[in-house]
Amino acid sequence: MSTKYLYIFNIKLMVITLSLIFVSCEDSYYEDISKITGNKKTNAEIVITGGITSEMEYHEITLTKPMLLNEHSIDSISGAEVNLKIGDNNYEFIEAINHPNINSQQKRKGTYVSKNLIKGIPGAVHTLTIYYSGKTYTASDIMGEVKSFDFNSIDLPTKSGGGGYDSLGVLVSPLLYQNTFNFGAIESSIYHWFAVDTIFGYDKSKSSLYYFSVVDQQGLLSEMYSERISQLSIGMSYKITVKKSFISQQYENYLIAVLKETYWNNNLFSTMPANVPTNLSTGGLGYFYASDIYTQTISARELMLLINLDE
Amino acid sequence: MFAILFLLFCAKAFSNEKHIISGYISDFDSGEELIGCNIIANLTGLGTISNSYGFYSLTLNEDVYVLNFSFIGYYNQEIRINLTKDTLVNVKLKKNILYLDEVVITSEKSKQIENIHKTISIEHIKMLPTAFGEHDIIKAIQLEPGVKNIGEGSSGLYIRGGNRDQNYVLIDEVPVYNISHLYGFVSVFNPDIIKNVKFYNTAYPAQFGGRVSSVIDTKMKEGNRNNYSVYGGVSIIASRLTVTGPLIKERSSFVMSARKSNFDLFVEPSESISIVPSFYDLNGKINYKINRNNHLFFSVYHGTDFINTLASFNNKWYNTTSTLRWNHIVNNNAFLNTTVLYSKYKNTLTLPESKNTKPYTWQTGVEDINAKLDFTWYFNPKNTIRLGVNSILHDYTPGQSNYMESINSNMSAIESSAYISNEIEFNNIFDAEYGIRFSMFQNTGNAKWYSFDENYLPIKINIENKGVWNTYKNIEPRVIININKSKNNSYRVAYTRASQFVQILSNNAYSYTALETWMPASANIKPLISNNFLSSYFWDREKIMFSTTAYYRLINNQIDYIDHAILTDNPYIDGEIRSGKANAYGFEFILTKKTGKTKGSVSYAFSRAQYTIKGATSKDTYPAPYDIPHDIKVQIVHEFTEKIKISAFWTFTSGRPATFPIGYQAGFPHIGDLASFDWQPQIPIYSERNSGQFPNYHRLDLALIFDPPAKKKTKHNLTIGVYNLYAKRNPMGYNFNNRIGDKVSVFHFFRVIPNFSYSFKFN
Repeated sequence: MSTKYLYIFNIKLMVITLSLIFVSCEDSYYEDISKITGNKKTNAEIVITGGITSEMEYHEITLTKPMLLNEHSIDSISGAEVNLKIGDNNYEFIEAINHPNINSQQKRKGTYVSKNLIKGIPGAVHTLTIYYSGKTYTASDIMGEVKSFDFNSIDLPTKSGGGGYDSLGVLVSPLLYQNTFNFGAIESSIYHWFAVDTIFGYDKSKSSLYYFSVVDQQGLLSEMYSERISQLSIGMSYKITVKKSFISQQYENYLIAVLKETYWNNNLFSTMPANVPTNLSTGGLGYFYASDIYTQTISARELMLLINLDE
Repeated sequence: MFAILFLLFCAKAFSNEKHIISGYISDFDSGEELIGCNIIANLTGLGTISNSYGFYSLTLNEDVYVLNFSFIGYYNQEIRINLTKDTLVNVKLKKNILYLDEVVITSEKSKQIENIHKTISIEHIKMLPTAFGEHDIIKAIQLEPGVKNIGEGSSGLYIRGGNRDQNYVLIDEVPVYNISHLYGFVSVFNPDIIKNVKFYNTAYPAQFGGRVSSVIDTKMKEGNRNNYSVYGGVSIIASRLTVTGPLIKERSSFVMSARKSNFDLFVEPSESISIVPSFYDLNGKINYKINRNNHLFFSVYHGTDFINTLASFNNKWYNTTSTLRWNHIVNNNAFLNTTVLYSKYKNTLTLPESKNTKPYTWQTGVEDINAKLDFTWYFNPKNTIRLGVNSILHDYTPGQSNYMESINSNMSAIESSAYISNEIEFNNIFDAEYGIRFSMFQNTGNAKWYSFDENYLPIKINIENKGVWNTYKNIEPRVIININKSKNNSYRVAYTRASQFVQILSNNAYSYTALETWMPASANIKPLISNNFLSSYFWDREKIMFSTTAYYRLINNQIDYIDHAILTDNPYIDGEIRSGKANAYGFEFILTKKTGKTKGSVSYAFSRAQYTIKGATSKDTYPAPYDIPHDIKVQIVHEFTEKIKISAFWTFTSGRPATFPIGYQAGFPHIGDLASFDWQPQIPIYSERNSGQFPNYHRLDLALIFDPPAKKKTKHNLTIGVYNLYAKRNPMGYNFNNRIGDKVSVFHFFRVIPNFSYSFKFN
């Protein structure tokens, strides 16, 4: 099913070709942006990206400013106060450049890291509070509990009205190489193709490696690993880690909207342009998520035996 | 029943029937029936007009009359008749060759009620400048006041605040669901085969239904019953050839026509030309006069587009229509038209197989089988009663892909209707056409559809196996009243209500980047209901005509997508749609100079169209995608000599609405380990839906027409033109990813397009 969206680039090519050859000309002619937009500007002053998972680690939140059309880089926001409330507990976030436990390579302006190793709590409301430029912004997400699975019988829940979605992230760690490959899938009867496109950003030249389907768990594993094994020669000693993450339906809507406004826009399948949703109050933009994660690890040998692939 | 009795009462009240003159009016040379021909009985002022099949019927007191038969482009003919009994008078009118060369936009004047529609002559269409030299009926209609399009590359008609799916475009009474070739640059109507175009704008009588904005009723030629002839032509974009002649002299004839795009004859897809569009049209018609009272017609049309690319995609769509018609004269003042119609539209998009993927195919379409009866009773010269019934079997494919074969999106439905109307002349001042139409739409057969909760989340799947599982019924009153204040001044007021059971769902106003499909009414999608209020004033002198119209329309159950809807392979597609109201209002005027060496018209239209649809986007009320307030059109034709003319067309319209970005925000769709992706997209920040506006659009087109008089056996015509003479860059879109400083890159159509069209005819 996901393969349809591997065609997105073909479709883009088609539209561009149509535009250039058949329909219109883009002959290096430019118009003033102000003529087109009437100098309209967004009222938003802050954009949030990031979230918290149920894994114990230093969690990151990034704060940036919206970019005007005539600007060409996104500015980060420094000097904000960021706090996270999980149930009755408060956790402080420190800007990475001032964080004592972050190495120098990760010391970025605008990135706020939890002061200590923390983890989210499934079932709890996670509320982020940001104080910046005289305004207080809040964003909340409820961390739904992810259902566990094992490789013998991966339990892939289907979409249910009003409920959240599970996503499946797979991390393959080849012991012989230093490369790490990631891919994942949001799993529902409609949206399972989502993560296939997210990996385009990782390495577009290898995007075809990630062809798989999650219609059923057998299909998922067989298609996924047969591709990887045939093309990457994954050794039998490889460790394969599968992560399954809960995301709320609202966050899923945000992710889908982001893809529709970026990789999937300007093609036959695109919808009318519209703003991506946000859960940030006070006119802010972006999304703060809370996601429960369940992890399982298996060796390539064990996995191949499970899915009846020949060595 | 009450309606029928009331109509009969009204009819009777004005009747004083004596004897009936009836018959067919046809072209002297070809034998083809003439539509909309005036018949006036001198001294009485009584008259009628030949119907869509060339038949007329006029009831008069016993007396001696001189009947005047007139038709634009033909010599008048007078026939003296001593009316003592019912009389058959078939008339053959001779063409006035000189007159035919003139530009003509006709609207019959002898009876105001016929002015409800405008007849657009093929001669007029052939005078208009074009983009690629291919004369086009739809492009000609786009020049009418109150009719808007959204710039080049769109064959869409947005009429008086209505969407482009609200126009019933008919070829020999069959609806054509996709009127575009080459994504809208040329329409499917080959002008060589079209005999007559009637355009009903907003207010139309009860015999028409199924769409709420307009009816474009095109009739194919029937074929020359007397002589064989061959005609055709070539333009930049296509070549065409038509053959016609008698099968049985004066009793049966045929016409066959073919049109084919030129580009693909010489070019195949290659690395340098990666896309090669092609199209063709085939038309055919035969007719057979069984006897005086019975006449059979059979016509077919098939047109296909194929967009062939080297590797990236293929897109093919086609329309097939077929009409079997039986005209029966029941008696001298009653005419019965029985028609069986077939229409199929299919659009297929194919993305080819690649190393890791199987081919992707998405298709949409509609297939109709339609049977109808239309009965016309010429009760007396002041009363014509029409009634009819119609039943259509629809089979819709709103969007089906081979990746979701488990979802059968096909939907079947039965659309039925019945109407009765009365065209009545109360006195010299008042005349009217009023009637009522009953329409019903029933979803039938196998179907799977979802029920949704208040948040539009699916809560229940409904499996339908057989029979009718959903029904909509509508009553549609139509009243059009004319007040003829004097010979030169008249007013019209009209109220019409119309329903429409299918709507186009599209993600873009331009067909070439749109994923569009016809979506029928169903349990989740209610039919469009339009209430139309209209008022007009006409002032008509020998040389100049002026008319103005104001209107207000309220359309219920207008649908639109929600933000970021999933358009394909989505079994919950109904949950991605919201419905609400559309309202439109405006006024327009046109001033026409009808005579002299220089003729032409100036028109202006003001209109607004707005949606109020809760939950579709951030604001409930927002501009319709075709909300284009101002529209000015100027057409001029100047005759230098008998052989040489020049025509010019200038248009100015407000820019169409759009949703433009006003900034960007950062975003990282990631969880846990997936956060290691380098992808840091810049996500657009938009103003509200359709709150932006493209710049105003304007352009000037010219055409030089060499049209020497016909010789005995041949006629030639050459048109040389320029589209967008002053090379205006009219933006079709912006590439916001290509910004330099305060400027953004602009997509636009070819700036200047020289073109030509050559036509010939051999008898």
